[in-house]
Amino acid sequence: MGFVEVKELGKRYGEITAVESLSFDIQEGEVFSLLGPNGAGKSTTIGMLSALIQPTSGDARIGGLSVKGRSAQLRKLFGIVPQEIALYEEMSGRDNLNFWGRLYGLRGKALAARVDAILDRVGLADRAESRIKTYSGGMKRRLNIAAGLVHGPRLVFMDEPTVGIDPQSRRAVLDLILDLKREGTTILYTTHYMAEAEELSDRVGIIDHGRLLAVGTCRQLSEGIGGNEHLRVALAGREEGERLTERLRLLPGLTVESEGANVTITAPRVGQLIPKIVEAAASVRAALRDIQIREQNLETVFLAYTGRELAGQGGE
Amino acid sequence: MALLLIAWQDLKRSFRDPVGILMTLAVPLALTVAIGLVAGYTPFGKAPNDGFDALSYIAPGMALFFMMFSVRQAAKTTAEDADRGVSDRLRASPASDLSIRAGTMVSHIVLLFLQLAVLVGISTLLYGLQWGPTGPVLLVCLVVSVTAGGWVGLLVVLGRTPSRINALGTALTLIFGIVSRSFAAVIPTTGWMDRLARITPNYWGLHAFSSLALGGSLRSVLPDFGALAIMFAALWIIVSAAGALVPSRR
Repeated sequence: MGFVEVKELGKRYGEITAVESLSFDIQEGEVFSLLGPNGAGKSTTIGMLSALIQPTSGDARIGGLSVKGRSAQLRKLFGIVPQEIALYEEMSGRDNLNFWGRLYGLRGKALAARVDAILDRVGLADRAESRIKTYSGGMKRRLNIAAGLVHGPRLVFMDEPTVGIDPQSRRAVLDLILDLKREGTTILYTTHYMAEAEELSDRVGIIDHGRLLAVGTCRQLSEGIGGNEHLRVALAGREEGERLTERLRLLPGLTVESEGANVTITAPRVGQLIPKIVEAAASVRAALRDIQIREQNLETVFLAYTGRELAGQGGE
Repeated sequence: MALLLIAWQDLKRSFRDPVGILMTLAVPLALTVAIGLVAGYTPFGKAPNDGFDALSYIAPGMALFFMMFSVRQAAKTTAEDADRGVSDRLRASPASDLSIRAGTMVSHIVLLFLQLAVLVGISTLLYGLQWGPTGPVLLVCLVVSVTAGGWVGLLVVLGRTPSRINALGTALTLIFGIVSRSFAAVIPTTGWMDRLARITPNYWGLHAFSSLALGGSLRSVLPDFGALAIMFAALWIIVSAAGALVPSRR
């Protein structure tokens, strides 16, 4: 039994299905990422799990408590880090954390100690008394995370917490999440950045059009698509691409797709096929401009499961 | 407890917002002082006893007019909180939905009451303006503020976004001011305006303030309180049904 159990969870808005029959478990201390493009249903899923959106079908339990009940006991179990900077901009960082801590029942010295510790942890101790509106984007992001952690929750929902920040701040946020992971905090993380999902997660769920297409460790997901690798060949023009594609399709065990002057070959250990590809290109008088092997990673896995690339997608 | 915490947080935040303070207190106070000077009043001196007394005539209407500006400001802040995800973060906390709604409403009411009370107090202290017996006058301020709190919610329901609320709130403030005779000295009102005015808190507030200023007692303003209570109940029902006191971006 997982700490978070999601069973056939769904959400419809009239005729539109935002999330369809989602089922997965998250074990205590695990970092589970939902990876998907814009409109995939990631934020709606977090909304339902954090009891902000009422599901239209199925249910989810956190620590044995149904999210449909929206009990205070349930809501004390988790912290939430929304995509937006959900803070009082006119107030200082410390005032904000004091408020959110009190709302979760912290008082007096315990609250002060906790706020000091969390400010120190997110590297904002020296700016604690400044109003948030004077913070940089990265500082606001870090305080946004701190507000979700101030009461020491067992589970944290993080909805694309690195969207729109500079690389340095992004690194700081990722390091903070890795620290939380080492301490055993359970995290449900949504992102459309492959690298983040690979670096942070114990397991990844690939979500698209509201449906969970696959769940597993990065290795399991990789194996699930047959360990294929992609090789992209760039040629001088479309006609040469089409000639090479026709020629390569005669070889057994290859999947070949052409797109303009590019030809993509998918096969296990595709690198070993380079001599054959060069030979085929010469036989159809196609001049090779470039050859790139895309090794198996979450990006290729995503491509295999959804039929489209995730790169370049904005936030949900 | 969560209710008080949320109300206090909202109040603290409001007092740190320079635009809010300007619109809620500074501008109305400056105008009251200016109109008093134009009307021939001397600060801490005797009231003029000859001719038309503009301040006595205009002060209650202006106070209620500026209260509606604060209603707009409060509604805009509520919508901004929803946009920024603050409302959702509150709803994800252990605080009950009722505490969140009531806490937000209490902060709006306290601010509106403070604005009215400060204007009444300053005009009394500075120019010796006669508003009537202190207790009932403050009670009118409170009842009008509670009803205006309901209008905050309705503005959020109708406007949804901060920019639309800003436009709608400004229009509503001006319309309410005109039909309830806040500017009666310069804009004549007609029969249909009087009928329309009855749906505004300005009308009933102005009626109550006038009754007390003309020597009326608490009993004389009870019908006004009744009308305002009905208005608030209707607004609360509409707003609660639309879930707009703590609107969500989801």
